[in-house]
Amino acid sequence: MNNETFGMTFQYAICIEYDIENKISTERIDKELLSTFLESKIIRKIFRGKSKPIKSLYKTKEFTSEFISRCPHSFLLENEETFSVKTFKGNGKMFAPKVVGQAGDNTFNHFFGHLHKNEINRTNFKEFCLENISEILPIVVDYALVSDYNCWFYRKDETFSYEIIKRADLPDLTFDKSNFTFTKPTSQSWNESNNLKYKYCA
Amino acid sequence: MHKTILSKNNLTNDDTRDIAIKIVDKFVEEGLIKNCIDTDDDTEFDFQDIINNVLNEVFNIKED
Repeated sequence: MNNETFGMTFQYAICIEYDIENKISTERIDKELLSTFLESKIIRKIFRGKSKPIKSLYKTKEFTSEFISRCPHSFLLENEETFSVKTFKGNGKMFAPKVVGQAGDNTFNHFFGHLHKNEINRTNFKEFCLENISEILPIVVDYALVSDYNCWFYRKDETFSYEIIKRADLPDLTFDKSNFTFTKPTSQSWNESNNLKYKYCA
Repeated sequence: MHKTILSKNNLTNDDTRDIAIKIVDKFVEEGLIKNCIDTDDDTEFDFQDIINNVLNEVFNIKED
C-alpha cells in the first residue's frame, strides 16, 4: 500500500470516528486498514484530552489564498484550532512541508522573493539557496508545522505509532549561516540533490 | 557486474538519489507520473524513494 492511501485512510477513519462529513473518495481508502484503525482505538487516544475534530478541511478552500491553493490543514477542531496528519513509512521523517515544499516559480518567489533582489528562477535557484539558507530554513520549518497540532503518524510493519507536535511549542528559530554546510557547496558541484547540515552549538 | 560498476564509479547515496530524481523528472515529463508542483502530493517523492532504495540495494550502498 502506498503512503497516500495510508494517509487518506487514516483521515477517513477520523471522520468515521467523529461522524464528520468529508470529500474523501472511498476509492482512495483501504477497507482492511480502515477497520484496523477503528478497532485499535488509536484515534480516540490521539484526541484524548484535546479539542475534538468537527470538520474535515480536505479539499476545502478554507485557509487558502492566491498562493495557497489547497487547505494545508486536515481538520478543524471544536476550539477552532487546526489539526494536520502526516503519515510516514518506517522511521522515516523526510517530507516536503506544505505550501512551500513543492513550490512552483510564482509560489516560491511569493514566499522567498523578499530574500533576493532579482526574481528567483531555475538559473539562480542554487546560488540563492547556498547564499540565503539561514533565512530560508525558518520559513520552511514554519510551514512544516503549519497547523496548531501536527500529528506525525508512523507505520512500521504492522504497527502504528504517532507523535503530536504543537505549533505553539515551536521556538523562535534563528540560524547562524556559518554553522551550515552543504555536501555540494557550489552550484557547479550541486547536480540534482544536496544535503544540508547544521552544527548545533548548545 | 554491479559490484564492478560500483568499484569503478564509487557511487554514493547522493549519486543514486540524483539518478532517481532524473528518472522521476523524465517520468513526469512523459506524463507517466503526475506533476506535483504546487501541491501537497507526495507521489513524486514516493517514486524517487523507491528508485533510490532499489539502486542502493543493487549497488550495495548504505544511506548516509
